[in-house]
Amino acid sequence: MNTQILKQNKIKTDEFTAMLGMLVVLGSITMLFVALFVSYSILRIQFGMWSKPGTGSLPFTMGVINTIILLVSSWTYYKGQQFAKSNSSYQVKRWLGLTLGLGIVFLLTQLNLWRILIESGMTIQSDIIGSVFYMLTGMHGLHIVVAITALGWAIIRSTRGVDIVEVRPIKLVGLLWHFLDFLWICLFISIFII
Amino acid sequence: MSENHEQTFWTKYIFSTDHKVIAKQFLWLGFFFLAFGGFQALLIRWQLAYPEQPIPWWLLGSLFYEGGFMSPDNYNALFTMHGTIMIFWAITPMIIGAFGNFLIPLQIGAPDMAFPKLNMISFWTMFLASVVLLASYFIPDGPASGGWTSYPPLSTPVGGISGEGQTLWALALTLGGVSTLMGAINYIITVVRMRAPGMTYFKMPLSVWGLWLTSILNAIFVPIIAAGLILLLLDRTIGTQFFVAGGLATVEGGDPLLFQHVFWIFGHPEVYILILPSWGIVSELLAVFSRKPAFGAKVTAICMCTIVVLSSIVWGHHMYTTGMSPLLGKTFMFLTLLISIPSAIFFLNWLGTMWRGNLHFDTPMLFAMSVLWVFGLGGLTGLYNATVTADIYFHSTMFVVGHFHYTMAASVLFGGMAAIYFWFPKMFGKKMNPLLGKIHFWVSFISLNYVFFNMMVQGYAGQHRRLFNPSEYEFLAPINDLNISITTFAMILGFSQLIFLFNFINSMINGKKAEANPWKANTLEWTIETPIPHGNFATTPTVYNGPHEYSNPAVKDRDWISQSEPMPNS
Repeated sequence: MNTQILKQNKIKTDEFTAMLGMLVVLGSITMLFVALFVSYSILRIQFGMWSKPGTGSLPFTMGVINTIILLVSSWTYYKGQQFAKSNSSYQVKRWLGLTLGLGIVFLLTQLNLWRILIESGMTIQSDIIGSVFYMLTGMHGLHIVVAITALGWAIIRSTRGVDIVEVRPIKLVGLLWHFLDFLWICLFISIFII
Repeated sequence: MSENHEQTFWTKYIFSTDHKVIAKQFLWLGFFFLAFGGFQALLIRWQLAYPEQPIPWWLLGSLFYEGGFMSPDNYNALFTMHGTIMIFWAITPMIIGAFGNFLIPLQIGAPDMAFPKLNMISFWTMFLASVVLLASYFIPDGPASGGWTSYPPLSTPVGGISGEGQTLWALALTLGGVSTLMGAINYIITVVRMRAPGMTYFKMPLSVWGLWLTSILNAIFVPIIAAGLILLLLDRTIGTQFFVAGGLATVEGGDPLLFQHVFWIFGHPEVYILILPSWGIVSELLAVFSRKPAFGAKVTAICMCTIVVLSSIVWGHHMYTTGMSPLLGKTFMFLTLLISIPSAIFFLNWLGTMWRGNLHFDTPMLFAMSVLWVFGLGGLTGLYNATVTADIYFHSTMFVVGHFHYTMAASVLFGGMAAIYFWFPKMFGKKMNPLLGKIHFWVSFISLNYVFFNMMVQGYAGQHRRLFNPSEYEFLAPINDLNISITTFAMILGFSQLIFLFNFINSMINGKKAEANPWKANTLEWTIETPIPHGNFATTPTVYNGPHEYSNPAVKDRDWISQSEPMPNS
């Protein structure tokens, strides 16, 4: 095999190409959730008496807390990304590690919310409201799990150099992170507020 | 990274990131399932023609069914899996997986896909999906049997068909969807970012246009069916009742029609997902074998784009009989009929390409031309199905079955066959036997038309699809003999594919070595010597000409000029 040809043609996925690829992925995830949201709205309109999940103000408060957690995590992500540009490996690890931690806290809060609701009698089988609620938050949660894994990979990948931080993985995962943050806000508004 | 090129057997043939190897993997996967799905079709045909008689040994009857008699449940599973396998496991890997992978980088002058590793994962996800699908044959109650559309309540556990086959079906389809998505991301980005210098969008061969538009549709609409499948899976496994309603439901608020909408929002674009690559390939091959530029190539590309847009807003025409409001029905009818305008335009372009051309009737050309016939018939009968008044009568009859086999099966498969005969010399470096190819073509073409045209006749006479035993109905007695002759021709069609299989494998092993450009075609893949090295082009080509510049008067000594060859000064 002609190695010179191979060298010349080595696939070099440049940053813009990778970002575009990520945008297509996000587009596809958007369509997935568009379909789920449309299904949700059709079921909700047909059902008529749609009530918000749980009784009392507790689930709402936890929803607000989770919204704040994710908003803060987007901000810490932004900070980490800024430090990545100035090659400060320590700061990148600190801020992105914090982001990752916030992601895990979000998931734990979410699980706690599920536990409280299940104890109050609302399960995924109990009524259509419960089915929709657990399905939507579950699908979002699964994507958060993927994003946390990806972020862990990005932190390791970008800070393994001695004194240079690779910005690309951070940028790529950042798109996903902020996107899921936005998605949560849509979820929060449509489930807890409207 | 890809600098390490110490290739072992594993990295070269199994977990390869080379788009050409992955293309071949997809091709073999597609062949396997094409044979499997085709065999199921023959069993279905046997049941329709000879419902009281045991399946003979040459259809392996007693191997699958006790005494060779299939039960109604077996029959339901057969047509369900035939549809599912042919659409998602035969045509999709063969056309989109194999030719998408093979052609896109080669025809746009790229060394490989934009994300080679993702490409490899895409194939192995599809492989996993295949394993899950085949596993459903080995569980009690067998595979899914709610039809390939899997409408609730047939597909839901409450009031549906028993057995876990449907669950594995939904899981396999979800995995297959993930694989398709990974492929789509790769194809879209490769076309956007990796075209060789000078390769503008309108200098891309029309095959690439078709494959690219297909990928865009895939990226948008596969997630929609994924959403439906996720809800179905929850219904089947956790016990939600999203799609269960009425007396069977223990929870209020579910809606079976919701699944139909979600299914067809994806399902209608899926039809175009399958046929767009075929249109592209046909547009290109007609130009090659007419030795003329593709007539109105730009217009053809734009028409295909228009159809992509229109295809996403016509899904309701599958659901006219669901109690849809007449206003909505009329709207969907109007939008659907609009599709005939761009279709008619590029159809005329195809005729324009051939008009007064120097036609060469090689096997790929025969198959490409046959697409004009089968797609023409399929398209025209689509108008009846799109029209509310006619469709209410035709709904769920054999007319629909004939129609969609003409479009989805015949057009796509013949387009795929054209592509296989045409690009075989580039894929394997050998020539296929032209005589066997032509015999394969004529036998397939005649028998296929007999089968599907008469299905439409039966449907027109009122025979419903999915009947277990059509001879039980008195009003169908006058057309019952037709069932037998259709089955005879279906057997001829099925077994004539063995000619193709023999030709394919024999040519791979014993075929004559093919020169680099046996068809004297212009596109970039023919400028490379076969076998194509990993990395494709020795130097990145620069593109000067359009893809279909045949018989250009500026070129004196021959009737073609490669895309990467500067046009001589006239």
